[in-house]
Amino acid sequence: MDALPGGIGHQRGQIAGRRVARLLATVGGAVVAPAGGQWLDEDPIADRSPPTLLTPEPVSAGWGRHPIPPAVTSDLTDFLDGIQRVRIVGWIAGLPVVGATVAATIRHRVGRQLVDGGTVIRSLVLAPDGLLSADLAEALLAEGCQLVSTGDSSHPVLARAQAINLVSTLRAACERELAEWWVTHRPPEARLLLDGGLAVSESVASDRRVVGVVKSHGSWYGADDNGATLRQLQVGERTSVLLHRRSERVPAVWSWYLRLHAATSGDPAFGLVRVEHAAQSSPDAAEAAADRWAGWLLAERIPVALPDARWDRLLYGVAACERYLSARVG
Amino acid sequence: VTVPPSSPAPREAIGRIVATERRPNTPHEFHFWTALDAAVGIGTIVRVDGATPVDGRMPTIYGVVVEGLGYTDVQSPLHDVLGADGIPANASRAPTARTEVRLYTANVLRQLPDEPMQPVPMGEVFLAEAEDVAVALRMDGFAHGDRGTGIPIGLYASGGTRAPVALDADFLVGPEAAHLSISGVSGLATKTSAVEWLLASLFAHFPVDRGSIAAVCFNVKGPDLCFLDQPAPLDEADRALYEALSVPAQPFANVRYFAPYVAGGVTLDTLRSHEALQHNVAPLTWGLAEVLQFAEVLLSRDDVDAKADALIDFIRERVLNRDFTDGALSQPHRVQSFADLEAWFLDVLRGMEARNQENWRTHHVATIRKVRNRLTNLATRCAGLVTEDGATSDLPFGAFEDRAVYVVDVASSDDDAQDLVFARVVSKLREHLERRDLGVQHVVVFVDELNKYAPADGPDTYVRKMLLDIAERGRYLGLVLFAAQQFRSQVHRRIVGNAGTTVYGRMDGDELATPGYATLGPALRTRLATLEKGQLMVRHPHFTQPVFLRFPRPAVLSGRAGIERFPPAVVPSLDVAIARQLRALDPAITAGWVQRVVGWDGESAALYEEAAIVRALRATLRARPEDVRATFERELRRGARAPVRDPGTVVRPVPLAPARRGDPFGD
Repeated sequence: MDALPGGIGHQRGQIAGRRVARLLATVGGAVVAPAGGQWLDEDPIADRSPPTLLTPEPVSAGWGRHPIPPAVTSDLTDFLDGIQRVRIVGWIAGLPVVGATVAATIRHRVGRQLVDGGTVIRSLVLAPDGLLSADLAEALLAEGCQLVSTGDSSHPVLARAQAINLVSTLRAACERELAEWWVTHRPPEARLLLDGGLAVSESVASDRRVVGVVKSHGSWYGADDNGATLRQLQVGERTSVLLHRRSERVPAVWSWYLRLHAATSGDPAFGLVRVEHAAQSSPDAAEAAADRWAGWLLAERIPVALPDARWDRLLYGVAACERYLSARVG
Repeated sequence: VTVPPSSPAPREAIGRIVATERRPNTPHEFHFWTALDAAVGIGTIVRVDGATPVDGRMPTIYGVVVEGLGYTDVQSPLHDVLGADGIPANASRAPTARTEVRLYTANVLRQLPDEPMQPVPMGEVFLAEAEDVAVALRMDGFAHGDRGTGIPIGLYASGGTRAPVALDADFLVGPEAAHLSISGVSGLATKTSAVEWLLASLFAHFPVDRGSIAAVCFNVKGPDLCFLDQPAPLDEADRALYEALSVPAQPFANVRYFAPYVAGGVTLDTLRSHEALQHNVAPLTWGLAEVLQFAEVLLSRDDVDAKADALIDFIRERVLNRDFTDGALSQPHRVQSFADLEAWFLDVLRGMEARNQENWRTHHVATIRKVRNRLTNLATRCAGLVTEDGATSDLPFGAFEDRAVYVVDVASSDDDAQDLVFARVVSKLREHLERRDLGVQHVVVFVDELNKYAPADGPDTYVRKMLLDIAERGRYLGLVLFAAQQFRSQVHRRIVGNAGTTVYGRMDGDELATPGYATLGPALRTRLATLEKGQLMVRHPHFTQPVFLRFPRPAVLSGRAGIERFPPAVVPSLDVAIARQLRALDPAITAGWVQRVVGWDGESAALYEEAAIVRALRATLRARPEDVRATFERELRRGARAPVRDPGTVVRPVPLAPARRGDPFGD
């Protein structure tokens, strides 16, 4: 494997919440949360895109189901995912100081074993503008923390929500950074599975060696009569390839649904993933590529990612990324 | 013991210490994980290099792996079943193998520095190299230098490291600790082979400044110890082991065999009866005095009460080997043999009857009859060992030689005779060692089947008491017990408990389930149950944990191979048997000469009774004279009470009576 570029790899900056809290108490005079602070779930006030019902735009004629020829094995070589850990580590003047760790990793497959293919871990301290004294900021920087402003809000709940949103953004930035490095440095025969959509950057979205696997279905291509196709999609089947646009910043990608596990419970989203892939040279090439990638993804169902609650859509390689980062970050 | 130089290139760490709240490290135990292909297993010795100095010194910890865990990230077998749709082949086709861990637990062998004793710190784990093994097992304190007391016992071989391991002679032979207990199932080259090997090592390495040493081995089954002076074919691997352990791959140079006679016969009751091996085989015979000294070994305590004891003591002190006269007796007696004793008893009883007495010298007639019955019966029970004429042929007590092995072959004797032999030989050894006139300063006594002689339960026999005495006090005298048994749990606790060194070969599963093995973890017990031939687990006072070793095949011929190479002699006719026995003293003696001397007529001796011939033979063998022929002839003449027949007389056949008339079978 190529050497990782500067800034990517096993970086310093992963520090324990208790050390940040100690600095807050000793240097910043903050009121410190006990035991290094409570972990925060996603904030209910944080920005989240509302679910959208969309009408599919097939790249070739017709919108329907396609059985996938079973693949003996998978040609995927790499899996990429990231995690974030957020907690309030202290309070200064009634406003929260948020400590966070964002991380992303590539699990690279050698033989049948997954090894580290590049990891980014960053420690963050997020606070409203001007809340941290110069001494405290200096001490935190000396510890390898990255300081992030949450704006000038004096609303404690809003400040916390903004911090959580920022952490998510910075985690996505880590993932993007790694994905872009992968696209630049990995050989033509390498194949990367990215957890989530491809529209993180132009270079990633346009690389035909990469697929993104979307487990959440905020964008649901089931408007009009098309919902029946998704509901009736059987295990081992995919839909026709459709055009998926996320933002103006990145090119549209081609996408298709794949049923990994039978939806016996009646939940149409059970075992259903939406796969994003760079545009192909022709609609036929897109369908052929979809078949090929779908076969590999079906092969990746084993081993199953249980006991993770998302096991029906979470592939083992991606789960391995999360487990690896959890072991590294805590 | 020489430790081979370490490999020049430093080895890479093979593991990393891991400690969790649920499985913390302690001063005696630690955990580490390794790569899947690490050459680590149960019994592997590892070294941990600490990362934080304590008192200015970087801690180094040595441990031996006692448990191993391997698991994956699957939390329930059901998850794997679901993932593979219930088809095992699907799981093996998965593009990614589940993350798998090898987690080992090791018991601490040694911490450096010794103080302060702390929980094992985080650090890298390395496979122990030869120097590490020496330090871990504290051999650096006794097995090096000019005054080293190391006795190689085997080769530690794991993870690419081969390191000789030695016991401390001061803790094997005394005076610090002593005795060795070896257990293992039969037939897997554990007990006898290991003892033969260890004796060879002991003889080769016992420090000169610790004095002289000899071994007395009781051969209690088959031909096990019958060929200790015969070389065995060894393969290259065994020779390499001998070389690595600095022990000559040679049979014992000085071995002497002792065996009782076949009951009433002239041949020795041993499987070492091949004519080519008779030069160092001697009879083991005792007279009445020797037997009476240990009468209580043979007499059941339920049977013989205090009154009988008193009479036996009386005979021992007042009658035996003395001119004894009494008004009740018809004649003076000098009791030297069982035959004399029987005559004495009969005279006493007749005298009592004649006087109509119920008591003689305070001994009741019933007691006298009982003691007579029991004592005269001994000669029958120990026939072949006990001589009628009181003559003794014994081990060379007082003239034991350094590095000599004395094998007492009682494999064919009955249990009573074995008990008697054991009790008397050990008592004599102890007696001479106390007086410092045995000829050597230390004696190793090897006893197999100890669960028979010193069982954990059962009656408190004389032999068991004697073994307990050796186990508890022998080391002060230089009397060392090497005890072998199949089931350690069935041997008296004080005997196994007093063994400073304990060796285990492959063990039976049921035996391992007994409480005595509770201190060993399940992995160690499993390893013990699956040990290969030539592998041992050793406990020694310097080793804080058991270690697994490999030892070479003994350089002596095994019993089975020996029997094939030196088949026992066919039981010969009397003339041939006598010639064979005498040839050990004078190789020129032939069966023809014997036939002439005894008047052999093809089936029996014409000139002397068989008993007289046997007595003459035994007397000659005991005397080991320069002129064997003359001595034998003299003894014949002395022992002959009367010629059976006059050789000049021609015995004519008596004609058959004529058939009666009408007898259908008369023709």
